Formats: sequence, structure tokens, C-alpha cells
Amino acid sequence: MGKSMISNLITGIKDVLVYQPPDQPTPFVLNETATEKAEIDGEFFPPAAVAEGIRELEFMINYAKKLDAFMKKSSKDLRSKEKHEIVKKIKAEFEMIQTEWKEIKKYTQKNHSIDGMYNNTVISADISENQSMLESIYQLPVNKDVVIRSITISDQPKIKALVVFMDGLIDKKIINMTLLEPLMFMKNIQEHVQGEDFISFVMEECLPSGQASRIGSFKEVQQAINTGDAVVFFDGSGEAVAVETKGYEHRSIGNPTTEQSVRGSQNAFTEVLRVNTALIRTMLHASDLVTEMIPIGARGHSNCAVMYIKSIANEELVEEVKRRVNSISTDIITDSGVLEHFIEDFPKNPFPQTLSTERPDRVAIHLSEGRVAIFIDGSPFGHILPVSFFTLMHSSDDFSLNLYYTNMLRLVRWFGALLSLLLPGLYLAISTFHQEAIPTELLLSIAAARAQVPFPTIVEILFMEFSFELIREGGLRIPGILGSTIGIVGALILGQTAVTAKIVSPIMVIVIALTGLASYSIPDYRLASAFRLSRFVFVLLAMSMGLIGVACGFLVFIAMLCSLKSFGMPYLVPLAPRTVNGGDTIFRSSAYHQKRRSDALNTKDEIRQKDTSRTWITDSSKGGNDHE
Amino acid sequence: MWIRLILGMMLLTMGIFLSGCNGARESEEVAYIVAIGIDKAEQEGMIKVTYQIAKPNVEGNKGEGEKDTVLISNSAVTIAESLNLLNSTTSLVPSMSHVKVLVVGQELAREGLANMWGSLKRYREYRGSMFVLVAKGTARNFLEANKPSFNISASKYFETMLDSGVEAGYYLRVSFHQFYIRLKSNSAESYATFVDISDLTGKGEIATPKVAGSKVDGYTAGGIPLQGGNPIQFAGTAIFNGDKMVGTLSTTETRMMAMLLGNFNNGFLSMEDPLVPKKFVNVNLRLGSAPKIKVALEEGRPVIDIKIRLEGEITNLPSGINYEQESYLRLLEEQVNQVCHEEMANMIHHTQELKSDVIGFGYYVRTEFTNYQDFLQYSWCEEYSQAKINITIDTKIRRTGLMIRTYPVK
Repeated sequence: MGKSMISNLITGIKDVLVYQPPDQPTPFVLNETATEKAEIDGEFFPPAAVAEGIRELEFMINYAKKLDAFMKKSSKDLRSKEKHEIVKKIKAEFEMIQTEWKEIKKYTQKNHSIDGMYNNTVISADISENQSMLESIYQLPVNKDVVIRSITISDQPKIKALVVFMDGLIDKKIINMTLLEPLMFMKNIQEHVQGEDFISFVMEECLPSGQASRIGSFKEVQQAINTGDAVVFFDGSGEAVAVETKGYEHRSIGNPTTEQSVRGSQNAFTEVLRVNTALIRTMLHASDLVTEMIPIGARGHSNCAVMYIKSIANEELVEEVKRRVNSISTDIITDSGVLEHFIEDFPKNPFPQTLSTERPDRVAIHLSEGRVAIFIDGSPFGHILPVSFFTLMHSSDDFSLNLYYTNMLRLVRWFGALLSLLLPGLYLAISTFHQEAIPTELLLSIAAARAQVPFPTIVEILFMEFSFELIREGGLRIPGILGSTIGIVGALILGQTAVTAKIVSPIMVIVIALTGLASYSIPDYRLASAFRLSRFVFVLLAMSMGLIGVACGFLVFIAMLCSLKSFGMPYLVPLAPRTVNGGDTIFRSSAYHQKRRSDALNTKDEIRQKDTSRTWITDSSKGGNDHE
Repeated sequence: MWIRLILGMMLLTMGIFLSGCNGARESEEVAYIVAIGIDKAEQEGMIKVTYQIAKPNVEGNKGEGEKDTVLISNSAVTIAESLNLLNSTTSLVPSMSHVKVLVVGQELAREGLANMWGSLKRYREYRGSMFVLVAKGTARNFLEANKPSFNISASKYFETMLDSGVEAGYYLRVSFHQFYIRLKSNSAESYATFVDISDLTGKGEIATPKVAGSKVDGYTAGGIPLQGGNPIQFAGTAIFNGDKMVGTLSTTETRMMAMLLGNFNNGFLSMEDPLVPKKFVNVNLRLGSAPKIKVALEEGRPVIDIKIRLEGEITNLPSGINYEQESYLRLLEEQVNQVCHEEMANMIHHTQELKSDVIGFGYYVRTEFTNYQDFLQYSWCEEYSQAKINITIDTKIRRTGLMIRTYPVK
């Protein structure tokens, strides 16, 4: 008794002193799904696939039941009534059931999709079948975005129809005026209009919409609904009609933000694919400008537009681009940069192998050169391919400005590119290995500036490079209003105080600032980042081997560029391999002198303009004479 | 693929780390020598080497009037040994890669430089582009006395000083490499810029003209009467026979030498007025074309034909005589020809006496021999002193300056 009292006391004290977690409801833990476990165990059956399989079977059982009922009914009819009247009726019903069988045959022959999206399923003639399929695909009625509107059209006979669309992607006015109204007021249908005939009848006579197309599979149905079209199913028809009703909110066309230009067009692409392709059409009115749409992504169903001018672009190039885009098998792609990585030759190389631009005028120019442009839904950047290194160094308004001024700017740009690649490396190599190459005065002032800095030059360089990248990367994320202020504060104060605190020498600040500035003289953002990346390699090489290291590195760098290919076209063309210079490589010639298209593109039509592109020079004018 | 990549990476890393950054040296860890002076040491067979080391100008650390260089001298048997001794006295690593001038004391120069020159040329840190000076006194005193009056550093001072020599032609600059080439050649003799310290009293021997028609005669370094400014003077040329210095040329002689070498840029010539000998005329001369020199052998004796074309501009005409006119201009040109001819003849004669062919006529005489061995046997240095010299000077006064004619003062 006493013992238990003591032990009770001890437990009491223990309860007071020792921490006991408070009672809480079971917290939520994100567990592994059953499929993941099954995958680890080696028995992988995705539930969606199982559900789809079950639905398939149900579908076939339904058909079998229908067939059974039809056979029973017809045998009964044949026995009971007069033949020639009934045969006609049976024949019609038999035809209907036969078409259904064809569809089932198609259905069973195809591979089964595994994501539960019924991508291979064809539309059934039975409207309730379609409705339950749609409900299963779109998770109705849990999912509130998809609207299924059930209507009845025409009086004789009454035909059930389903209008399916995605709320928010459509324009309600269009749905009401061009779809529901004509369908619901449709009165007279001849009885014999059935099946396919019926669809074409509706499309021809009842739908006052610009775009309407017949679709037969649920893959197309989903594509249409997911991109903002309305799909109309009719009872008794194995096909549906997709009607264009797109009307979603999007950003209006703005100014280019990353490729600003003083002269030249001020339009930029937006996120909507159709707007983008239209923007190009407004600049380039060629009739044989082809826009091919290739859907990408098993779930995303994003449209990828491949644009080219049929009479100019090399056919093999177009085929290859389409082949690569078609072969992509992934979940979803929403950005053109990601798409590029899926299709470019050397995705691990930091040098961009396409020209990413947000300017329709640039795309138009390059299309007329014989290049191919690709766009993807949701990305305000178009990609032009193939490109050479030199194209990436061109700017959009190069041709808008005076010839000599442009060439001066281009020289500045090339010099800037070289600086951004080599300057820190060269500075490091010369100031630590080859001091005899610096003028004595400068060397003495460098030595004086460095006298109180405790770190070797390489640490200085890495520290400053890191700070610069930090300012760049941090500045990108700072909210708009604060951005410029903090950028200035960061850059100025950091640079100034680092020097006064003797962490870096002032000359290093100059070197890094110059390098940073120079890297922004490169017109292409991704090319600039590739240069920035390579710069660190040069710094390391300079640290270990001085100018020899830099020279070796540069050799490897050039060799790497030479071996690079952009969609089959050498990256350094027309310099390596040497081909006909089109007059727009490092410097440009006058626009009226550039007779030929780029040789490396192997276009169908090499001639851009005649030799005498300005006939007014040779023609006699009707104006007054100079001597009068 | 992966193995190759990993191997490649390993090789690269090894290359980077094994090659070592041992060649690298931070700029503030190095003592940059801007000038080297070489003298005879008091001890027998030793040399005294003076290093002028630049002090990096750390802001705020420089006191008023403090020099931006340090002078360190040591005595050693060889220059290389002296460099090692220097290393023991300075915390920084001495570097020769920025040496601007090499100053040799006259005493040492007269004894011969051959022993030193080879080692200077062979070691890679010495630049071939450093200039060679010969100091009348000792190199140490010369470097000590150097106080650039304009706010420039010692290295800049030597650079600009030797660059500006072409403005008057009173001293020539010669790089270590040029000196060495002539040292080992048997067609020409070396020369070096002659320098000295002035006492800055303003009193000195005023040179009186030795040539008829001329108003001035040359000085050599240290002799120019000077007051104020930097006490050191660059004037004249030290000429060598082999590796030994044998004499000096004055400023006017140096100028004639520059004409013959073809690097006379411009310079004033003051001479007597041809019509009023008491007054003087001043012209600014420059070379009209490269000098045409031909050396022929007449019975084994060299005959040197020199043709010099000069172009000039009148810069002063105190007499007021209208020399701008075509007819008078001829007189002026004749006077220039006569003065230059005489000065040049004197200069060549001077070098002939010293048996030092500093102009390099030996290069022109080579064409007279069928092969090099013949030329070697000829012993040009000896023969040069016996050579016959023909000088033709052709002067054209092209411009009359900014005045068309002088009006007498009224």
C-alpha cells in the first residue's frame, strides 16, 4: 500500500516535471499513394487505367445487351407483322447498330491509354454514353468549370443534344447567339436526315459560326473543350461538332520589355497563341505562310504552332522540326524555353541554339529568310531556328538605323561580348603572371591599391563577381517600387564600402563593373548568360596558368562553338565553315545590296531581290535638271 | 562516356593544380625596380649596383616632399649576385621587368662592359627595351641627384625624358637591345646617352663656336649652364670602341650623328647672318629624306659619300634682310649647307680619331665584299679611321614661318 503510494507520488511528480505533448488531432501527413507502393512492389496498375478498362468493358456489355434486344425485337417483329414495311425499319436500326460496331472495333483495336483520359475513345452514338464519359473525364459534378447543357432540338423528331463547354474560356454571348439560339429554334428536319448526314445538315444550315468542325474522338473533344470551344453532341450520331466560342481574358499587346528598341516596331507577343500568329500575319502578308498546329503534352494539350513560308523554307528543315515536336511525349509544356530544350540538338550546352524573341517584326524578317518559327500556347516568346552565333549578336533595330552607325554599334557589341567573356580572366592573368605587360604607372597604382587588401586577386574577383550576380539576381526579385532603390543602394554602397573597407581594390570594382555592363551589351539574354557562365571558367584558367590558360581556354571555347549545330546548321556559319557572306554577319551592308538569302539555310529560293533593287537610280526622272 | 568524362575532369584538375600558381605573384608583393646603376666598387674586381625601387603610392601615406622611390646599393662580384643580396634587404621580391634605364658609371664604362652585358641580356627579366645611359660621375650619384621637377614618377620621368630627346636632337636614346646588337657587331660601335649632374649655379663654360658661320657650339652633359629645375642633364653621347667607352660627343655632334642615323626629327640651328655676320639667323631644320650613304673602296681605303637633304623653316631674322625672297634664300641655304657640312665633318673626324664608327658606316661597306670572311679580315674599325669622307648637304628652306618678311624696328 505504502509502496504504491510512493510510486503514485513518483508518477505524479514525474507527470508534472516531464514534458507531455498536448493532445492534438492526428496531423495530416502526405503519404505515398497506393500506386507508388505497388510500383515499388512491382505490381503497377494505375487506377485510372483500371477504371478506363472497366468502362470499356461496360461499354461493350451495353452494346451486347443492345444487340441482344435488337435481335429479339426484330425476330419478334418479323414473325408478327407484314414484312416489307418492317424490313425498312429494321434495316435502319441495323445500320445504326452496325456503325456502332465499327466504332467498337476501332476502339478495341487501338492501344489503351493509361491516364484515364479516354484519349483513344471514339464518340458513341448513344448520347447518354457520351455524357457519362464526359462526366468521368471531367470529374463532374465535382468539377465546376465544365458545363454540360442538355437541350432538345427540332420537333419532328425530337433530337437530344448536349452542349459542352468550359466556363470562363468561352464567350457567353457567342454561345447564346451562335449556338444555342439557332439550334433551339431549329424546327423542321426531314426524317431521313440521320447519322452523318444530320451532322453536315446542322453544320451547313444551323450554325452561324466562323469555325465549326466535325470531331470523332474524345481526344479531340477534350482538346476543343479545353481550349475554349464548345462541343455539341447529338443523339444517334457518332460524331460531334466543335464550334469556336473562344473568349477568354488575356493580356493585351504590349511593348517589348526585354528587346526594347529605339526604332522599329513596338509590338510584343502576348500569351495567346492565336494573337501571336496573327501579329506575324499583320507584318507578313504572305499567302504561303503556313501555320501548323501540333498539340503537345498528354495533360496540357498545349498547341505548338510551327510557322514557315512554304516557298522559301527548306522542306527537310520543316519536316525535321515537325518530327521533333511531334515526338515529344511529356505531361505539359507551357514555356517556349522548355519546348526548346526538348527539341534542340545540344540541350546541355549553355549557348542558345534558337533565337528567342518577343518581337513579331523579328519573326517576320526571319521567316522571310527561310527560317522556321515555333510558338507555344501561353508563352510570349517565339523561337526562331536555326540560328547562327552571329544572328544572336544582331539587334532588332540594326536595320532601322544608319549603316555606319549600326556597324559602330555592332563593333561596340562585339567588343562588349569579348570584355564580358575575358576581362576578369585577362586582368587576373596579367596582374599576377605577366606584370611586365602593364605600363609601370598603372602597375604601381594597382600595387598601391592592392597594398592594403588582405586577399589574393582571385578571391577579390570571385567576391566581386558573386556580389554582382547577387545584385542582379536579388534585384530581379525585389518588388517593383523598391527595385531601383535597393539596386542602387546595393551596388553603390557595396562597391564603395568594399573599397573603403579594403576588401577589394578600386581597380577590381572597375573591372567587374565594366564586365557586368559589357555583358548587357549582348542583345540576346541567353547568350549573355552563356558568356557569363564561361567567364568563370576563364577566371579559373587564368588563376592557374595565366595567359596560357586563357589562350587554351579560348581555343577550346572556339572549338566548342565550331562543333555546335543549331538544327543541323553549323553555329558559326558563315565564318566556319566558310560560306557565301550574305552581307550581314559581323557588320552589315546596305539592305538594298543584300541580294541573297543566307547560304547555310539552303532555302528553296536563294534570291531575295534583284541586283538592281533600286530601279529608280537607273531610270530617268521627270524632275527638273540640276543645271537649270 | 562517363569514364572518359571523369578522366578528362581529373586531368584538367590535375593540370590546374599541378601546373601550380607558382608563376603568379600578386602585384603588391613585388618590388618594381625602375632604374639600375652600375659602378665600380671600391673593392677590387667588384661592382656596386644601385637599384631604384618604386614605392607604390598608397593614398595618404606619402609625406610632403617624400620621394616615391628608394635607392639601394650593394657591392657584389656579379649583377646576379647583387640581385640576390638585394633580396636579403627588401621584404618584397625584386622584379626587373619594369627597369626603364640602365645607368653605367663612366669609370666602369671606360674599363669595359663585356662581362656584364651578356648576363643582363640572357636573363629573361631584363627588358631589352630599357635605355642605356652613361653617367659622367657615378651612377649612384646620378640616380640620387635625380629630382624630377614636374609631378611625375621616376619611371615616367625616364620615359618622357628619353622620348623628348628627338625634339632637339641633342641626345639620342639607345635601348639595351640596340646597344647589345652593336656591341657584338663588327660593322658599328655602340653609343649611349651621356648624362651628368649640374651644380645649378648657372655658371659654366659657355661654349664658343668652333665652326665658321655657326653661332653656337655643343655642350656635353654637366656643362650646360643651368639654374633651377632638375639638376641632372641629358646631353651628348658616350661612344664606345668595343665594350670600352672611348669618348663623348657634344650636343651639336650628336645632332649631326642623328642626321646620319636618319632619326633627326627637328632642331634649331643658329648661325651667322650671311650678309651681316654680327647678327644671327635661326632656322628650324629637319631631315628631308633618309640620308644616302655610300661607301666605296679605293685601293683598300674606304671612301664614304654622304648625301643629306635638309628641309627648314626660318624662325628668326633679326637683320631684317629679306631672305624670304628667292634670290636671298639661296644665300641662307648655302649658309646652312656650309655650317652643317663643317660640323658633320668635324664630328666624323672626331669619331675617326677615337676609332669608333658609331654611325655604322660598316653596314654600308659590306656590299663591297664578296663574302663575310673577307669583310672580317678587312678590320673595318682600323680602316675607318683612315676613311675619306665626302659630304654633300642640300638644304631647302620650305617655309618662312608665320611672317612673310621682317620690317625693321622703328
